[in-house]
Amino acid sequence: MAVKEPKISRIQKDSILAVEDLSFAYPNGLQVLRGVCMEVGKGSRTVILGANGAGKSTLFLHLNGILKPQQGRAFLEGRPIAYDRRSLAELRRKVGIVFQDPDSQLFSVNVFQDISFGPMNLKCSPSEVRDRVEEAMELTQITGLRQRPTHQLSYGEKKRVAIAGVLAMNPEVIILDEPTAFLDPALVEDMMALLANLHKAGNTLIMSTHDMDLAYRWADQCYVLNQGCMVAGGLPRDIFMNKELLKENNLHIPWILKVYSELASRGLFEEVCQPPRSEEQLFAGLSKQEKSSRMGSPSLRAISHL
Amino acid sequence: MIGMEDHSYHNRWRAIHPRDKIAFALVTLLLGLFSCTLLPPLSILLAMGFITVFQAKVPGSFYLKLFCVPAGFLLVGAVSVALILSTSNTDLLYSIRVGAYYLGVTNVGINQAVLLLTRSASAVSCVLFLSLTTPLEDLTGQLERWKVPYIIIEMMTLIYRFIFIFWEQAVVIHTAQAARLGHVDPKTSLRSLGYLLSSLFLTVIKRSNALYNALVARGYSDCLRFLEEEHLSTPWRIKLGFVGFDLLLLGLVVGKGSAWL
Repeated sequence: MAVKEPKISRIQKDSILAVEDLSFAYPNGLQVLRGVCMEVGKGSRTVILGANGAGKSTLFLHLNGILKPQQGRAFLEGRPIAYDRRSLAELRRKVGIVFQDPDSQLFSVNVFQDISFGPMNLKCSPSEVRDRVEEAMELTQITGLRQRPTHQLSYGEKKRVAIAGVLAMNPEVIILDEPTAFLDPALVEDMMALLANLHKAGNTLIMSTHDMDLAYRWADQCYVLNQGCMVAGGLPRDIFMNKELLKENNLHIPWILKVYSELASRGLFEEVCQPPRSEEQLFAGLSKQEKSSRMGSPSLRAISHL
Repeated sequence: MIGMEDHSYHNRWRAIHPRDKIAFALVTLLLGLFSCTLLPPLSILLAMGFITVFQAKVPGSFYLKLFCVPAGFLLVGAVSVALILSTSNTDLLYSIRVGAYYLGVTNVGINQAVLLLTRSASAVSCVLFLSLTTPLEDLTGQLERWKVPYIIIEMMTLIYRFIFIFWEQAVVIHTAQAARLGHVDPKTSLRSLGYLLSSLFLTVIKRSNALYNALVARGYSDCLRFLEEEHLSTPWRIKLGFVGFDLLLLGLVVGKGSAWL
């Protein structure tokens, strides 16, 4: 139950990506990562939390081999990543990154071309490239944009094209750097539905976000970065129930947990070992309570009408 | 500038094969430049204007506005060719006295200037025809099929993309400056422009690093490769028109066309 500092003595066999004692400083001397340890289970949904500048994006660049650790090691499927041309090509085929700013990722003139870039680099045959591009466009619902020039797209559209560009490479692990930032609520829902589909299809997903509600509801594994140090790692409920940890790292409690602890402290919600993960679970717990104590306090009834 | 590529995507001649458009524009441009008489460049000017505005349906007002940009340079160039500084005014058609010299024009000079002007204008019309009817992706696709070195095609693609990144960034910075009265008077405006330029270059360097990372993340190693979507063809009437017009021009240019003009 207790959140412990993630110290990995040896990398587990079932982890698809892992880093061990990873440190990195930029040429200007800025130390961004300090001895980071992290392990991502195959097929998991991992969330990385941390303030701006905590080192999330730099960590991601290590997972795809763009940056080489200055100290420590990175692992793919339990084996240390090698940095020769062939191993890197293999790594980048398996691990795709969707960058936060889609403009830094889209460089070609039209949507179809941009999505075809990855599969072309994998040396797929033209017909296979076409199939993959079509499939990726369908998954991200941008088939209608195929001929549009990239600079005329809206932010949400660019974001989807950027994701399609990564999906077309059929990666096993998809890393998303703040995928819901700047999206309107409807597009956030679309994005989460897309991620759910990808997860169902067997992909491992890693995401950084500042949206605690989203992280809590979505993740099955959470890590917290603070000024380049991995200060915590574990199940979302362990992270988010740890008030001290949240306070130290400027994170806040998801509203579901806030409501849950308030209700629990007033005895209106049966204390269970597993707090609710979703709105549905929270409301379900409430209505059960209401039935069992129909004569109960008026405040309960008021709340259940929310 | 920013309106141009809109038209290149949405014009009636988009679907004409870029191979034919490039070849036609290039051959016509060269014929116009090699011409020693006025008729070929003038007919090129008319034909290209006609095709662009009435066939490809690029709005005439937009076309004229676009033409005015190089027209300014052309006029200045032509005037400087026509003007001659001389010690006597005997050969000069018109002249004004400037100290010990005469500044004026000769018959030959005027003819030269007019020829230069029409030739350059015809070249501009060829370039406008191509750039208003053919989006960059079609051009690079065709150059690739013509085995033009990858490095050139890559540069074209990236430069093109960066024009928009530069432009959008400049607009964003300008708006941010204007919102804090950065362009309230000419002096402030000039200083703000300096800030804008320096921060623009910093941003673009940052952006290009990010772009490079994103390329590498998707397996970029030696060259930018994309898949072309094949959807272009040229009706035979248009091909015939291209060839016919250029043959006619060739006849005029080689035969000097002196009988007509």
